[in-house]
Amino acid sequence: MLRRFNYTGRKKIPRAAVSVKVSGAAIPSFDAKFDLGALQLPGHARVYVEAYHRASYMRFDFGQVSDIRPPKDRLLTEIEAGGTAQFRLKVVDETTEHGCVLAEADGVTPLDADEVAANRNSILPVVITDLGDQVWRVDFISSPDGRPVLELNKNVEAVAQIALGDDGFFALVYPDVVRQILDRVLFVEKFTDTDGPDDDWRIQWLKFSCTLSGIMPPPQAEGGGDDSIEPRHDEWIDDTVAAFCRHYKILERFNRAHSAGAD
Amino acid sequence: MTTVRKLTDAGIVKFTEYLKRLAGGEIVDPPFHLLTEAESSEALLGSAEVDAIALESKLAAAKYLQDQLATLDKSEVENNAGLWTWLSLLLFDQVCPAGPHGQRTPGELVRHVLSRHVQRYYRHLLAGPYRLLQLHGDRARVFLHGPLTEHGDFSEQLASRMQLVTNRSLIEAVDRLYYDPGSDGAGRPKRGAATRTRPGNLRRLVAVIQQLDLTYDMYAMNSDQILDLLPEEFQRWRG
Repeated sequence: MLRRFNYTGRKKIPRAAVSVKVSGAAIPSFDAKFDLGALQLPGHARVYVEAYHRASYMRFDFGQVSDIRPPKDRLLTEIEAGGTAQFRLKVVDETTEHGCVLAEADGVTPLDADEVAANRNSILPVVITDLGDQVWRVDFISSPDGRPVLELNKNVEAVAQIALGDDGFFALVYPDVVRQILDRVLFVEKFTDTDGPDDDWRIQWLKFSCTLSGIMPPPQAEGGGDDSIEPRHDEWIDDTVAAFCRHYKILERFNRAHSAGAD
Repeated sequence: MTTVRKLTDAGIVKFTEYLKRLAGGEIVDPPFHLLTEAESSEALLGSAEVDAIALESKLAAAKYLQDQLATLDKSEVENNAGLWTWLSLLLFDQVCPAGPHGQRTPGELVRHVLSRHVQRYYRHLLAGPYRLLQLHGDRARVFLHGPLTEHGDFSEQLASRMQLVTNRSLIEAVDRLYYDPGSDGAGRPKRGAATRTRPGNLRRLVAVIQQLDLTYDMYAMNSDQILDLLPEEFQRWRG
């Protein structure tokens, strides 16, 4: 991959400082909230929110850092149907001949009303979409940084509530979600570091794993070839999924869901 | 004329199996029966018709499909893997013509089966040109020159990068740099534009733009401003 240099010191806007909610069905619109206070950006710099999905793109002028004014029309008319737009927040100094980007947050995943509830744990964004005959899946390709997203089928009635509160769903789905994501981190991304930027999804998942009882960081490569490493990572993932199941009482949830008299 | 349908998941699986057999060196006729059988294909929400006419270039194919699919809702067209894979099968003799001994070389699967992956979408030999024409109209001509069977360097370098291909001013700048309209009206990309060893070539442009994008608000610029930012090595292409 070509290495690029941030010569001008463009600041990274933390994901936690930005939230976008999408609402409406036929032509959705969005609300964006952000806190730029800690970045010490000049008041005159202009703020833009860009929405994009695949090859569709829209840009909205939100005024200046010192005077944020969301545009009245925030309809996503030009964003391709059938998918979930992502958002980019950009702060631009337009006093120079060519506008300079002072700060940016990219790959912001929006939440709709149902997803707000489902996204309390932002380590796993949830998107409700059309999945054909699949009830759920983990998607790794829609986010620019490969962040996993749990996709739920919009054709399942009250699917957000099921994902949050149904013991049977929880017991059968989430352990496999964890396994898929850790497989991705260790075997596809070949990533084992737990130190680094807090907004790196791989680090977030490895750190989350280490909060589970008995789980240490994944084993590091030791001189030898990949063959000697992968089985150990398999074991680590097995241990982590088992710890996840203990922590969240998965067996108890499953039995409760399937006990006599359960809904 | 044939009424446009879409392949079902089962139809896509069968077509994929066929492509794998071709890739393995087998000589097998295309499974055109999948186009109409109920198990392997289904009707669209709207109605459109196409014909397996001769399409001499990517531009001709994109324009033909744009016209023929105009009656369908955008949402039924853009990311519909079943539709685009159905069209690939219908036009298979053109996107994967048989050689003198009947052999066919399908290449990557995503050339014929539309990928959900944003970076591979444009490798589809029909959906890629169609989408580029939809996005950029005549400015897409630098991408759409050449036969339908060639994905092309311009598409590979630019169309797979969403932040570049969605920037209309940038695509206009690319057209101004690298497209020669020709005195006889038979335009084509300038010779050497994709040659890695030539200063200011296409790959260099992508690298430079990606670096500039870290500093400048590229979406807000017009093509003149983008061209003004480019280093000296690109000067020769501006003539």
